[in-house]
Amino acid sequence: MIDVKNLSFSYGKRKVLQDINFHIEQGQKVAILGPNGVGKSTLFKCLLGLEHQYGGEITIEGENLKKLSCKALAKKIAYIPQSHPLTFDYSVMDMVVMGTAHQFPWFASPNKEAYEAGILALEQLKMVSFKNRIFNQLSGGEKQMVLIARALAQKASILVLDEPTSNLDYGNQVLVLNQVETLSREGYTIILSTHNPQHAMKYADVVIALSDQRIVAIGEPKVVINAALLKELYKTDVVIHWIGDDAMFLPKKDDQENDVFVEAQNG
Amino acid sequence: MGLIILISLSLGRYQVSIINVFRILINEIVPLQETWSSEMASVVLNIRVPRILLAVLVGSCLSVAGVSYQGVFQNPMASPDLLGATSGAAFGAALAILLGGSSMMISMSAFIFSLLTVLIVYFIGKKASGNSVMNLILSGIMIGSLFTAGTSLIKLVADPTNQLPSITYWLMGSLSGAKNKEVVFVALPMLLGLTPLILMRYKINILTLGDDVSKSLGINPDHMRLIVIVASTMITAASVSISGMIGWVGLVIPHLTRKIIGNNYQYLIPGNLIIGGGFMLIVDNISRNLLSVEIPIGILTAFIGAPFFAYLILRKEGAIHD
Repeated sequence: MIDVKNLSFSYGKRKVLQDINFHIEQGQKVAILGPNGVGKSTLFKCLLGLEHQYGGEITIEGENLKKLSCKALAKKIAYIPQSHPLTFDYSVMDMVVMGTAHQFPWFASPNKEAYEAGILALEQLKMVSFKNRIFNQLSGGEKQMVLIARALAQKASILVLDEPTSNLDYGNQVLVLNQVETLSREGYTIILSTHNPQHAMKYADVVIALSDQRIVAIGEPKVVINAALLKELYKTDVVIHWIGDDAMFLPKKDDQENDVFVEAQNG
Repeated sequence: MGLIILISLSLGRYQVSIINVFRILINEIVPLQETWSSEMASVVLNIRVPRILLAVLVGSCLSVAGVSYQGVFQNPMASPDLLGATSGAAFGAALAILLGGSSMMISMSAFIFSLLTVLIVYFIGKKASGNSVMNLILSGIMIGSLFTAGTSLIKLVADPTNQLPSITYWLMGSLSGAKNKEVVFVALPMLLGLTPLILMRYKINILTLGDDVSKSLGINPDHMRLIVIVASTMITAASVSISGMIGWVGLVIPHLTRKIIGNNYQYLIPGNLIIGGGFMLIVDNISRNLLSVEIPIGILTAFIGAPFFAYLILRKEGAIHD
């Protein structure tokens, strides 16, 4: 569905991405894992057609991304940005209906069907009761859900979520990620970026780990994510505890490190 | 709106009843028995009709231009003079007055310089690297102040007995120059600019979300922004070229309209068209009738606009604390 070949990108002379190769199948949940500032957002900008000055090739459903107009791209791929306050107070309904904007010509306003699609998207997320609320007055989690609803109204089958949990409290993180899980079961292809290995482990089918401009690991989370990878990504020692099928990530404290050292000496 | 126009037509130093105004207007289409004098008909048709049409057009255009600029620049404080359209017009008008141009030439010169200023601003903003919206605003401030300085220079060298007062009077803003011929002259660019804004009004919403989101929603922000800026500049230039500097309308009316009907441009643009036109007409009635001497409308809009804006801001604060 999405093919990325030899992708590279630089801002001026500073290289941000190099030798990026991966393939995403329809219906997969893909997590781009990496520390802040490693180029996750840049990768997304390339995938979304926001940056065209990249090297290599990106194809979506067999079509070269650079040859697609933003209107054609909007039919295939929807972007769910990190929630941020809007300049103007739009209602939730207005926000969601804006997802349909690519479906009608430049001189037209949304018709009844567009509003019905908006309601449908809100229903899908059980958010209909919010439709007359002001977007800017919602909590972070609610805003994120509205942005997801807008992407659903856009009727694209690929959803790209930029750090969907980064500004949310614990409960809202779980709420949003469970929603993403549900959408994945409904057939959407999901690509999300995160710096939290726990989220990548629990919610992704495929993890693409980025470090130092390159992909350092790619594959099933249980296979790929280990202490060595996390050390490489975050320059931190992490202990992974398995509780049944669930992994727990704990930072290794300094005295633990000493213990290991002592054990090693004794051994 | 129709009622305000009718009442406005009957207001003035020369008494004409509303009924007679109505009959005079109808008489233009279907001949009626004359219950009015020919002076009455002349005052209504040749003086008041063009002036009232102009007031409505200018009010509508400045408000729509203001609200459109606010959208494309994602900035609720944007107003039609943001890109230097009014400073350019002022310079053009002052220059024409200095060179002894007729009123038609003053308007022409104001219109051309207004467009020219925004053109320069646009190209400087485009050439600069980085955030294009911010660059446009910055170069607008820069070029705007350049032309304001130019206007000051012209005032300095202008003949203080007749040129300087007419420059100063022009800068204060007035609709008194309205004649049928001139109204037709500005109505053309106004309609030309208003049409695309009215047609593509919904999509301005998308622009307010920022360029990245706009693109990912399938709307090319660069094309859209260019069209909206060109159209808004055209109607602003046309307005100020005949009315002079009328401040505040392009800022206050958009905010008032947002308060009344919300922020969706689908309704915001028609709302500004009507409320802006109505507001300007009422202010112009005050300007014509309050004192025996006409008060420049630019002074009145500032006197009414500024306190009103303060009220809107204070009320907004209150709403947040509720």
